[in-house]
Amino acid sequence: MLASYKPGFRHGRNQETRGCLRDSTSSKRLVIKCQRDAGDASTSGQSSVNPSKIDNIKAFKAALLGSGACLSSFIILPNFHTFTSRSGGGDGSGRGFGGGDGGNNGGFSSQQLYEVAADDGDESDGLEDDDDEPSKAEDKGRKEESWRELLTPSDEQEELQGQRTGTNRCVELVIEGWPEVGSLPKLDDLKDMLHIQEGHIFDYQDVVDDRRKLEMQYDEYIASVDIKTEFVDSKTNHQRVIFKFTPYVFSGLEDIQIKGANLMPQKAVESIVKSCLPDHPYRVDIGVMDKVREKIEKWYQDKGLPFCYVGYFDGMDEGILRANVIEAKINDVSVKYEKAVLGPDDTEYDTYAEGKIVPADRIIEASGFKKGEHYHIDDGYDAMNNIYACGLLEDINIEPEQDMTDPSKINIKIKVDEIEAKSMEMDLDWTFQMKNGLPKISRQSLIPGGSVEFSHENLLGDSQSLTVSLSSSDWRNPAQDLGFQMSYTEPFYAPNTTRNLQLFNTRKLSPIFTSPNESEVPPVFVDRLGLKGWTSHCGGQDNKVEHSVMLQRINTCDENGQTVTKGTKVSRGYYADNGPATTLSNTGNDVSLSYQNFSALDNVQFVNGNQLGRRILCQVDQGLNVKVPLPGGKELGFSGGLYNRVTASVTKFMEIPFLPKLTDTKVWVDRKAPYTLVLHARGGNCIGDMASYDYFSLGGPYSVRGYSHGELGACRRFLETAVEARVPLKNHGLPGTAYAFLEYGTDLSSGRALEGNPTEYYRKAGSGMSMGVGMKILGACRFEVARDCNAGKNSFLINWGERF
Amino acid sequence: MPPKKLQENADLEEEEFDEDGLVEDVDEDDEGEEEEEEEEEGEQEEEEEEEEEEKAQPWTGLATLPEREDVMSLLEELKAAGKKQLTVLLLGKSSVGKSSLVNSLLNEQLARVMAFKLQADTEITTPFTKQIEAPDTELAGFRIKVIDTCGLEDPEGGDSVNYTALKKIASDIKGQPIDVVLYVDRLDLYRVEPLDQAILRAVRDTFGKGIWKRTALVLTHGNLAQTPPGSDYDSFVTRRIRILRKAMPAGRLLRPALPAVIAENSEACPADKAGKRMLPDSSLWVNELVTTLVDMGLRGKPYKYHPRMTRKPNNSFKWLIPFVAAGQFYLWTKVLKPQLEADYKNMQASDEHIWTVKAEQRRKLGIGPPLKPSKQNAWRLEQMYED
Repeated sequence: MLASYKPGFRHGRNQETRGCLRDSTSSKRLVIKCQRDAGDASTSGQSSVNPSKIDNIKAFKAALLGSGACLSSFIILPNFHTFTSRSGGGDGSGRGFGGGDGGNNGGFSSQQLYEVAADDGDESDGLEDDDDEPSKAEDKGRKEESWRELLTPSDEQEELQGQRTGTNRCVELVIEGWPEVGSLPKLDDLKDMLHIQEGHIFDYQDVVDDRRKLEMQYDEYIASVDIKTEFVDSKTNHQRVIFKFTPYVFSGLEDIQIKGANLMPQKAVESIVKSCLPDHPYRVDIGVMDKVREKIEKWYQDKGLPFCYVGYFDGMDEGILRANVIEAKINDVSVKYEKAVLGPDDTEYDTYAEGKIVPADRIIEASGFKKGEHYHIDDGYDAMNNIYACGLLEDINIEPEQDMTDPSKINIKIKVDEIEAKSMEMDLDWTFQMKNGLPKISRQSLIPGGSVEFSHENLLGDSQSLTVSLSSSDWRNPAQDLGFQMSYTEPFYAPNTTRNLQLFNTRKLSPIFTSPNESEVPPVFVDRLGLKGWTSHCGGQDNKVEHSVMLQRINTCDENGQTVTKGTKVSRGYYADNGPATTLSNTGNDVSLSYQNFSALDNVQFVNGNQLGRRILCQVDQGLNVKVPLPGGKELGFSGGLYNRVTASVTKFMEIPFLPKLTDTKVWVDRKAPYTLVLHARGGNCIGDMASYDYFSLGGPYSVRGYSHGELGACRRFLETAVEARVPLKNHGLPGTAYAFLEYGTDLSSGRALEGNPTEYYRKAGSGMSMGVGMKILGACRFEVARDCNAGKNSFLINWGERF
Repeated sequence: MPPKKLQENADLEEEEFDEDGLVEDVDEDDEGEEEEEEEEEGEQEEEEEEEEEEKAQPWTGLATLPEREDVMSLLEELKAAGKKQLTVLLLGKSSVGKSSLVNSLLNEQLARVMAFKLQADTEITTPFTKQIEAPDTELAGFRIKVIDTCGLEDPEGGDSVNYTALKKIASDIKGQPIDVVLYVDRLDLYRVEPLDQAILRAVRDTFGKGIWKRTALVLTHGNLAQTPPGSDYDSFVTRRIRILRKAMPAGRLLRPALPAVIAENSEACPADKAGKRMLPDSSLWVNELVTTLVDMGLRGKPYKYHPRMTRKPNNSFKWLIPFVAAGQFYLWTKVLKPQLEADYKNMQASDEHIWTVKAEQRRKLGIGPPLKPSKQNAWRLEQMYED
């Protein structure tokens, strides 16, 4: 038994004018997206740059780099083969380009033309004249009915003698006559595209859809598509579906011409023509056209011009294959402002034509698009950068689109999202005390803390921002330890320079008044309330220079906020309060005016997730508190002292020597990360008045790992060195990075050069070495096992952020 | 809510504790202020102070001192030089024989000797002032003042310097003219420990370098029954003195050759026929000690402590600050800044290069110039990415 769907084929009907316009749904479109990274840039108001801060900055930079990568990978969605223009056969010859009408006018009535031929073995060639149509239509009702009889709802139907059982299942898909040329899909890919799939149920509509789809999509290559089905045995409805394609063949092709390609030099034209012209003009393959199109469009694509393409072919009747190239140019540039509004059930967009903060003219001018220019693939990215430079825009989309009415014109739509200048943010958090590197849950950790932040990002019209934030560790009684910060930033104060003013209040646990051996050391907190003004200058890759002037009041206090004037300890049951003084004035309060210079020479780059380069950080703090003696034994001036404090660090990230160097192919194609060796040294010195809150402390996750903060000592001079070898596990198909390190820190016996010698008082070693191994996974989370070489014990630690 | 109560109690206790501490603090502070006031009023007062000094007790031990004649004649030299008093300060670790030395020198059981200390010395300084009451001699009214001190190592750990005690000693002797400082250590030891070094350094830092000029070494336990093999008594003593002198932190070049005396405080000290205490090399050590005291007493002005002498780490090299700051400024202008500028220029040049190459390519292609950001936009952009 045999059932065949006989497709009718119409040609010479519904023919359209040559070079018909593409329909709007499939027009060429480039979408370029930019999403500003909404990373949580945490500005910290500490006067002394602690390593963690540097590290934070670096980590943040890393995040930015990531966002940079996002920027560059904008999405291009041109689909060059879905909207190739249709060209009618024109002369009505069956062998010409009388391809399907594309179905774009909806007049495609294939359903009527299909017939289900049961038992009669009718295997007509599929090409039928229009004249047949009425008779077929007449038969339609009957035929469809008989076809329907073949369908059974399910396999569970009882088996009846002489009747077929089961569903219409396609057990085999046969494709005949498919030309595997040019950009046409391979047989397997073609099978994947179809509605009818091997082993699956199909019905009449699937056959119709497949035929329609194939004809529409490949109408320039395929003259006709025949779909037949036949039963594979006599019992079931299992069927074999046969697709029979009849590709076009043209003959008498003598020349290939490229018309309208103004940008293409003669040489390129010649080479394309030469390489495509068939040897035998009378046996011309269907692929020629495709080859010509592909070559022309590839040439344009290589040059970065996505809006230049072959519009249509003609001239075949004259024996010439003429490719008509369209080189579209920018016509209109418009800006649309979008704002996401949370609707009742879905995010809605509120759009408006004129910006509230950044005017449209400014955006258009900044973008640099000019009427009458070609659109180069780089232009989207460049324009986006230019628009981004206006500031105050969050989401920028550039969508060049072909003009609906004229394919040689490109309209560029710029969609932007202006930031909301005023904003408020609220965080709630719960704190855990760390004990031996692991969080400890206590009653204290259930009390909610958090922060409220108000900010205005556009105070004076050019991104000047003012942020006020309040934080407390206990919202039940926020007055007790209310931290606040107020900062004003002028990001575009001068070329490459920002200007900032900050009023801050911080509280930190002093690492000086701690002891590794004696647990009974009451903690000392350093409260700073200060005003800091600084300029920050960037230039070079990640180079940075900051000049700041700071006036701060430093108060040392205990857990309850009571002022503490000196360190204490409980030793062998005795309470000893003869420890080092906490402040210069011996009253627990100092006022200090200082100048700070911070310079960073940084060319560290992330190569597939691992750093390479060198970073030099240098910081000088100059205390400016001159005291003038007054008669009567009093002195006039701040108590902060006169001092000069220098900290410098050098970090070198290099590929491990004696291993094969990473090549460009490995970096860009295989995406391999380098195996790196990190060499790090940090040192500092201070002369003059040094108070406990300015002492250098040794030990800690950013100093010498394996020790707790300040465990190794407090000092006036120090030197830290570290070596780390990193193995990127992603090269081996695993996540994260494994590393091993060796670190050493020494106070250069400068502990006793400090008033009260806290290193000795709290029985710290003064120097120490550590080694260990670790894994970095989940971004910046480090899991480490480090060996404290002084005590000879190992510890497991979880840290956040980069060490270097 | 029992836990809270408990904590409150703990807090209370702590507060009490704190208060105790505070009280002490206040006391000390008061003292400090007084001291400062005294300083300002100058040296006159100091002399007055000397006059109305604490009542001296008669030196009864002198009568029974075996070396009485020699000591008297030596002290007469001092008297002849116009001195009315000889002040001796004893310093050293605990249990080296400071108190015993006081006793054997004055021939009275004055200082409590604790051979095996169970508790730290409660008194930091203990002055003993003795007046010679022999109306028949010229020496009548001459005073000898010996200031005994506690051990200078940390009483709890025993492995670090007792800075608190040093501070207290310094404040106690402030303004008093000290004729001789005796640094006491044992003879029968072989090495100078890091702790000894640290103590000597701390003494230097607290009292100033000037103290070494009036310091003599006293090595107790001088009655060595047996010297180590390969050395006789003399060579052992010489060696011990040498290494101790070497340990004095007074600069490599100007290391003073401190006078050294060997002493033996024990009852079992051998004596000659006249009962004068004698060392194995048959020298009379009390005579030698007093000779040294008198020699040093005659030598120039006595040592007077002033808080200024205490080394303040914060003040050392403070004068360097302007030079260091100038040096840093120089480095900044000559090294860092040019490097930063060069980096910036390089980056700009490479950017510029990219734009020119792009422009050139596009020109060849026959399309318009690239959308290069304006100069202002370029730096704005850079800044935005920097942040």
